[in-house]
Amino acid sequence: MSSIWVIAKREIKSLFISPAAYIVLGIFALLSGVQFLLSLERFDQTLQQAKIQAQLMKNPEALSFINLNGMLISNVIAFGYFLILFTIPAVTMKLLCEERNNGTHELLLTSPISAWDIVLGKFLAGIVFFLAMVATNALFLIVMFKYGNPEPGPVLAGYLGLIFGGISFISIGLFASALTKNHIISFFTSLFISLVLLMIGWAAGSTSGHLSEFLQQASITTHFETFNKGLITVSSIVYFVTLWIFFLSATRVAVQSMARN
Amino acid sequence: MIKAENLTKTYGPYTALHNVSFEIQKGEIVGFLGANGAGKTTTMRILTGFYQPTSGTASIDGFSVTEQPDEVKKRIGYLPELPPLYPEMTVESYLEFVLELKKVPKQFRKQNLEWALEKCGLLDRRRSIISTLSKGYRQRVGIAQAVIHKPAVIILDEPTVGLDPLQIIEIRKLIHSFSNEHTVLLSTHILSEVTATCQRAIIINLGHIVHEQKIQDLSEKKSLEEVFLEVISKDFAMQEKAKLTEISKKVSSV
Repeated sequence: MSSIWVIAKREIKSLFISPAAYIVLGIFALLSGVQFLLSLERFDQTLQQAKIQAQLMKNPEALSFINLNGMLISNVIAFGYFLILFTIPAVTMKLLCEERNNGTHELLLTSPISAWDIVLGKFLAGIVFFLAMVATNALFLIVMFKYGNPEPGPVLAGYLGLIFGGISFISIGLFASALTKNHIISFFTSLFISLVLLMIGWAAGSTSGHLSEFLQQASITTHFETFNKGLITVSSIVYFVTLWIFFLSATRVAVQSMARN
Repeated sequence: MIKAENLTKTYGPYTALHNVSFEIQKGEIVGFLGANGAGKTTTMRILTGFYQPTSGTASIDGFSVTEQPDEVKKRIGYLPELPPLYPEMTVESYLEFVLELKKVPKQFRKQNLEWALEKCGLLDRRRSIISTLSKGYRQRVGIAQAVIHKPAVIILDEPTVGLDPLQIIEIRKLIHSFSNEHTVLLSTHILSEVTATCQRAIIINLGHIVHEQKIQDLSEKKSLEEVFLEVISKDFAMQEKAKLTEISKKVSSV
């Protein structure tokens, strides 16, 4: 564990002093902020209309369809999921490929630490940075909980889904960054793999039977959406954890082969 | 301290090393001498556990590089051709990272850091960011990371390449100061470097060892340069001959 932390600590420091990291952090915070405002406005309009309708029809039941969770928070979380699809590869693209560019992989691989230490250390650093990105959403939550009364359960589940999805994109990005010395190739490889895992869900619609079910379940989005509906299911957790283990193991093989060639 | 037996390394059809064997005693400074592409870096990478040999064995302090790589890695300090530096870090934070990476116990870290900074002449640059350093200073940081955990064996791949004459003299002095306590293997293609810093030269050509030469046995009459040219040209002639006989065999079989 200590060697993992040694690697992670150095990487976190390097991430937080690089301007690129702040650009990514800024883009994420800014765009999700804009989305929050737009959603809030839309929510407010819907609410006002519903109020008028309820008064006109003397039916207070109409208001019960207006739901802060469903209409605002899950909207913001879903947009966050869309944003991390592009922003996480920009963070992870450097993780291992920079080691090769600096020649520091020779230092790491001739030190008394294992390839797992390197992979998990980098993974941990990526997760810490990603959690900092997600933390910028805390402001919206503070506003919502102060002026509204959303149910905390589904909010928590939604963010858990976002975090699980984000960690999956990190494991994919880490794998891509182990394959090449080139940042751009690393970025697009990880974006490509992530997009494939997302788009197979779309293909499910145009197929039928078991194949359709399989494609549906293999898609990252299906499981993210389950979380974002407020459902924490064992199958979705198993899906995410399997994905991480798969890409981390593949990364370990790639790191080991850096030394062989 | 360092023992290589019949090391062979092939990359696909290309043979980089062929039956390389040598031994280096504790406290010796040995120069690995050869033209570019002779197999110096490959040998060093095998000794550090970075590469796996295709066949043959090597050991550091009695530990096999293939069977017990972790024990080997604890006992070596390695400066690759390109110093492995993180440009965005300061000299001090980088060396602190290396200390943790090499698993130096906490109570010795401060002491080792000061020792390495002083030894490598980096005391006044400890807070400099590595990317702002000159090439000479970067090389010193590279050497500092190789010795900071006071390893039994120090392996330096072309430690003076690309430096100016003054820097070269300083680095040579530094390497010389490691003798006795550490065993040093350094590679170079500069002949005078070996006579200036080493006790023994191992001459490698086309992936195999062609000659071993004690520096003290060299005389006015026969310099290392002459020895080098002699053994290398002999080796090339032999290789040519071997090729020719192979071709003539093929021809006669047709």
